[in-house]
Amino acid sequence: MSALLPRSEAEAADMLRDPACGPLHLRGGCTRLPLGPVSGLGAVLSSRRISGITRYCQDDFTLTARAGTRLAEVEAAVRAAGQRLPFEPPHSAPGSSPGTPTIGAVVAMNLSGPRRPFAGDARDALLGARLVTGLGEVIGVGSGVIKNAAGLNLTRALAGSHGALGLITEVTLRLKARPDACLTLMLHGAYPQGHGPGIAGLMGQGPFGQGLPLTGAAHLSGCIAQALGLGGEPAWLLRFEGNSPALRATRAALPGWAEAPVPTGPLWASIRDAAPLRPLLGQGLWRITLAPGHGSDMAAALGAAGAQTLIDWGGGLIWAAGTSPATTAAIAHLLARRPQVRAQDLTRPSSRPASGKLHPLAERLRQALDPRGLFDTRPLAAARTL
Amino acid sequence: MTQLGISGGQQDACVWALARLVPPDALITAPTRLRAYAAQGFKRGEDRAGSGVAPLAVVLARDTAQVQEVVRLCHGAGIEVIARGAGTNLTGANSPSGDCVMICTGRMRRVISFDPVGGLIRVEAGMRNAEVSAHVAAHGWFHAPDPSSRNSCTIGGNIGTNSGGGTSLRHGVTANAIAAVTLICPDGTRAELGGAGLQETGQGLAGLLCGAEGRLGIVTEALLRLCPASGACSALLAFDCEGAALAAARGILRAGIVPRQLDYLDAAALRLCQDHHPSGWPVAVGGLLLIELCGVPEDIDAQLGTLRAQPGQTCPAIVARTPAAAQALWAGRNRIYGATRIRGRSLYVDCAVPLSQFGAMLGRVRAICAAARTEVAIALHAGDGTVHAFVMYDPAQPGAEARAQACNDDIRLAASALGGSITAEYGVGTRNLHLLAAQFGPDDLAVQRRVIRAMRGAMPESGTGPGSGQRHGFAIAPAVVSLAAQ
Repeated sequence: MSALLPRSEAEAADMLRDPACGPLHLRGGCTRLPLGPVSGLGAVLSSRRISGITRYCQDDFTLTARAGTRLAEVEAAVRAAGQRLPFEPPHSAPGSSPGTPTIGAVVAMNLSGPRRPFAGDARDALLGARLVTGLGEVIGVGSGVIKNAAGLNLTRALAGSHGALGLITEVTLRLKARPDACLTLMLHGAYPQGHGPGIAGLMGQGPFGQGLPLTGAAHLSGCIAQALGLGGEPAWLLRFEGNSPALRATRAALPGWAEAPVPTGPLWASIRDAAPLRPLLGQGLWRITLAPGHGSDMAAALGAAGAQTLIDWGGGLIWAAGTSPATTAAIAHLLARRPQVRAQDLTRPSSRPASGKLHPLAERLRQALDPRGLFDTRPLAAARTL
Repeated sequence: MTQLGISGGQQDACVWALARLVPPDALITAPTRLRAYAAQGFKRGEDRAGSGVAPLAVVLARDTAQVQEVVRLCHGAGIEVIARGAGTNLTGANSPSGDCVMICTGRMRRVISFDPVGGLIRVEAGMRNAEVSAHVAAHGWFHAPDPSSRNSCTIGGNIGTNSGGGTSLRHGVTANAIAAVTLICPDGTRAELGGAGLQETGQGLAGLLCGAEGRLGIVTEALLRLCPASGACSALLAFDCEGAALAAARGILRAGIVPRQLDYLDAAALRLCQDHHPSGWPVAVGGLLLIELCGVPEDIDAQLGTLRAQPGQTCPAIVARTPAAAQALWAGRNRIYGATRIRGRSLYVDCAVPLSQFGAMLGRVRAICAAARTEVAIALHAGDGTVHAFVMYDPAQPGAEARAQACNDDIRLAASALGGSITAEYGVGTRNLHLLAAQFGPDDLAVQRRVIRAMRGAMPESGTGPGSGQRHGFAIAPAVVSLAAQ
């Protein structure tokens, strides 16, 4: 398959205005496997050469970068100024290709990490963007400032659109200050059986509700905890980030919890990227998203089926791995009986829908931005299972 | 024959059909009563915005099903439908024409479901903003978007204008709080967008509705993602000059503090507030910051230390640690709109600039108003770039109102020139429609119009091939198209 690599927004627009331009699959840094077969597509159109931070003013708490800018470059720039991307995007995931994710792809796929339930997702941080439509029009959406009530809120639809609406060429993101200190507290124990509050109960009425600076809430099954150097027992993990007095108060408020024996930064980077699950990819691995308050029921069922699990987003994201053919079959059977749960099977791409059919309203939006139907909609359609 | 090509007979037929569809106490057709729906804004006529034209009829809808029935009826009759919440919008958004039927969601105030563990509440669109927080407070949650009109504005209206408020700094605006919506499309179809999960399909479309000012359909229900309530503390810092106050705001944010609210009032604004609602504020100061901090007590104490360390303060910080004390401290600021109305006639101008441009923007605002011989008081949401300019004038003076209107335009254009937005919170509506081109290029606006038309059910005009230029699908009221075509 051929690859189109424009060096600029204008060059991308020229490509898309060409009447001979055929079907395209949009990519950033090409680190995420395509969702569904790519055979039959004309070419891949990548933004990875359209790169560079174009505006960053620390006092504005905003950063503008071209879409092909490496995520690592963006994070390094804001870290040096004591700031960060609030949504903590993953750098990789089980099944992703080696390579460098780009900030444009992060936004296009709405990739967010452990801080998601506490600080919002990439969509929430996206203030403005530039993109090239399927007609080769270069447009701006949103604005460069934190508050904007002018124009259609197309940034909300653009984030997470998986390249179906246009080639993102530039993004403006809201930043937050990076806290002074961090702390991870750990408590050994299995996920509650039955309809317990689980991790979600720690949020509304628990530490988060008490004003503690909670920014991560996860649960690891025994094998996953072992892989992260936390011992072989299932464990709850809570991350707190703030000033020193806040963290001292946190320790005092949770006397039964011990400080994790692994540094917070690398530990949560591993959770963010689901790193311990990579070796289990070949045995059966699912990525499940659901309402955080419903996580305990699903987690308990998965545990009963023998799954190894990494639960993130305060219970809203569950990575479930089978450790044997029997366990894998049990998980698949369990998920098949719960069609309302969004589960992506990472080991069987062919199970993803080959059709690019979208929700009727999403299709209307897509047609407005890509009347010629150039952009592959299958990744967006497949995202319905995420 | 009306502007839409609809005959008086067709209008009468529609009204008769509505009378058969909805109970008598839910249908308004008397001209004397319809006049109240010709404009929006504050109760006093001078500040109201909108077309000034009453709708054909008003339906006080009961629930989603009834909204859908009315929309279908009107769609079949080729009659435009617009929505209204509590009518608190300040820019004339979704203004009626004489040919349209208005659906008011003000009676749709039910809580449909509440998940106290997951922090999710599903409400009907007519529920008042403040009612949501009141309903969930006992369970340790609150609904974050807090526009000044929160006691009267509706969730549906908040979605229409993507309302925010002072808490946007920490918690975002309405789009950040919406997990899902029920939408009645202009053709009467019902769409469920988004869901309770943190990565649901359709949440992007639900967010697209925020700020669309009702042009993409009528939201009848919304699933809101709540925020955990935590300990809070308010503080007032008084400064000898504006520069010191703005520098302090920068210093607070640079220190990593993320207040729930961070407001700046200039000398004119604090005099206005204190004249009409004394709150114990220091007098004769250059400007002041009102801040709401949150966290555990130890965290708040550390943050207060940072606040007290900001240079240029004229007196010790005033700290309010109880909800009652905080409410009293903020009372003057929360009543600033009332203060301007007691004072006389005012235009409320909101815009946004990059935080680094506050100083430049304040200078521009004062220069614009001085040249127009109008008085201005300024309040900022100092953590998110919002500028509120209260332009006050005497309508008895010849040309005063026109000069004030010119200030509205010039202030918003100044914000855009500084890299900001012509409107931060109130929205575009009809009042600011002519300024959109300052912020968006021709191609940007053309695509937005195309999206509106497509989402409303008309195929985009490709300009090529047989039948090009003809609209397919559903009737679109020319008034709506012309609105979008500005």
